[in-house]
Amino acid sequence: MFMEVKRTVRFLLQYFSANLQSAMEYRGAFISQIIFMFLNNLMLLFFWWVLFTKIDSLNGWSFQQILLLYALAAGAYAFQALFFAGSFSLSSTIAEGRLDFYLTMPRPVLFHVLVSRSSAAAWGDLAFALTIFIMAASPSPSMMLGFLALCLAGGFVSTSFSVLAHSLSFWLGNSVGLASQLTEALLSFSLYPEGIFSAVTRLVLYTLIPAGFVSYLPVRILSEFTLAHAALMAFFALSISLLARFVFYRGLQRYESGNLVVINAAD
Amino acid sequence: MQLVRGSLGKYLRIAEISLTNRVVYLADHFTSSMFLILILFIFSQLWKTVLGGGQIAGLNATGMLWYMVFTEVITLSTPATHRTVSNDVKSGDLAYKLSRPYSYILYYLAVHCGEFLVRLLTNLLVGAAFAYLTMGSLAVEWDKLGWMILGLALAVAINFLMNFSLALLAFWLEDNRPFFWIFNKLVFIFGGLFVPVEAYPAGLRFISYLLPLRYGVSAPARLIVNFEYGFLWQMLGGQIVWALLLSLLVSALFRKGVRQVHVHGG
Repeated sequence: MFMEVKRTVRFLLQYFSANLQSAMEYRGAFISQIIFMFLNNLMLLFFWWVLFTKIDSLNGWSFQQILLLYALAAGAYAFQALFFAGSFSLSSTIAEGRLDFYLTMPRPVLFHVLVSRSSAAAWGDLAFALTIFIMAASPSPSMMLGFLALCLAGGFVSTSFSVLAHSLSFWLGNSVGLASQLTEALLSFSLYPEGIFSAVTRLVLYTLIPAGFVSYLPVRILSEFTLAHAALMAFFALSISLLARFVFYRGLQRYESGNLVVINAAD
Repeated sequence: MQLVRGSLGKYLRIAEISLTNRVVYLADHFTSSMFLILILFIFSQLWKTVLGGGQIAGLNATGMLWYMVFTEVITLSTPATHRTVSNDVKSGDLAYKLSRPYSYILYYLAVHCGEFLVRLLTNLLVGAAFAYLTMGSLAVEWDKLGWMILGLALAVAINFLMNFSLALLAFWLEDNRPFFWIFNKLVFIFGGLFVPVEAYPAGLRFISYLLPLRYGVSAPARLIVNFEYGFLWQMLGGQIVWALLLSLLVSALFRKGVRQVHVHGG
């Protein structure tokens, strides 16, 4: 078991390193993507800044908590995009018959597809998440570790949700549009405080579109830590990961090869 | 006169072809309006919570959502003409288009307008239906509709010219995409995508009034939601000045850029 985990982690890091080296081949483009993504995220905070010049609190949410919300959402997204960027294009990989390449390899198919890509711009998201978190919370080293763990857990939730959404392609055929709208919904909801939503909407946001576990609950854990919330977070991240794995492999039984000759290269 | 009419007719025909092409993908346009519903849903909840019975920049919660319907409809309906133009420059397709009997800039303006119209209608239908069902109706001053359409038409021209001038940077830069990322975020801020720029602190409001972005997004939306003649004259003045300045910029950039094109046949 331990050896299996070790092998898997090494495999993940090898892909990560290869993707990073590939991105850094064009050093100027790599750095500019990071800087522009950082600025891009920073500008999103402008709306909240303007709004909080008019109000003191938004149903119990302060501007500092909004900053934490953005730091956690960006951090979760960064983990997904850096380590599991294959999840963003999974439905087209399925619909275009490009899973053949992964099926012939002696590695777990889902894991292999997910780690095969990495987004260079996501380094900008990670830098943004860390900067905003440090500004908003002036964290101790242990709090920083907690933040990274929450980003990781949120990253697992968003990756698993992407896998679930994109796996619809096994049943619906090419459902790239639907999958991208669902993942877009998760990201959009995770950037707005739950305090603005009605009880029914919140129920949806803690179940069907689990933005609550990407950013709302993590903000609560960082603001007022309770063991119950941390355990709930870990439990949900694990459960949705197992569900995504189950659904993907059930769908894989319906997969039909397109007999395409495909060169598996980064975009 | 005959020449002008013939020339205008040519571009109207191009716009009509572009419009017809987009009508074929009508279902596609409605599907992509899902994002509009998502963002309007979030903001309907946000403005109800924030404003209750209050106002920001003279607009209550219903007014704010309708304002956002129009800013989002303008933004989402603006076609990615800049991407096609960038590709034309990078791939060399520009050389083929230069030899055709039309102005390259006016050709794309006509294509842009045709596509914009289809997207505008689908997005507006979806956005207005959502806003009506969740927040109630908007009291539009229908007798001022002509002024609103004029403001919208000038906004379309300004948005086209801003995008086109950035796309032309492809003559000199390998990758002009980062400029569009930043441009989109500047639209978000100085274009007043979520909140009218009148709600900004004085310094930022002043900058917004000087830049063209507000005249392409916020101002026409604000005019539709809350029509005032004083606002109309200020907006039209700004739009006309910026449309002229950007036209000069685009034609200067295009002339300079085209001089660098080498056609090798093939």
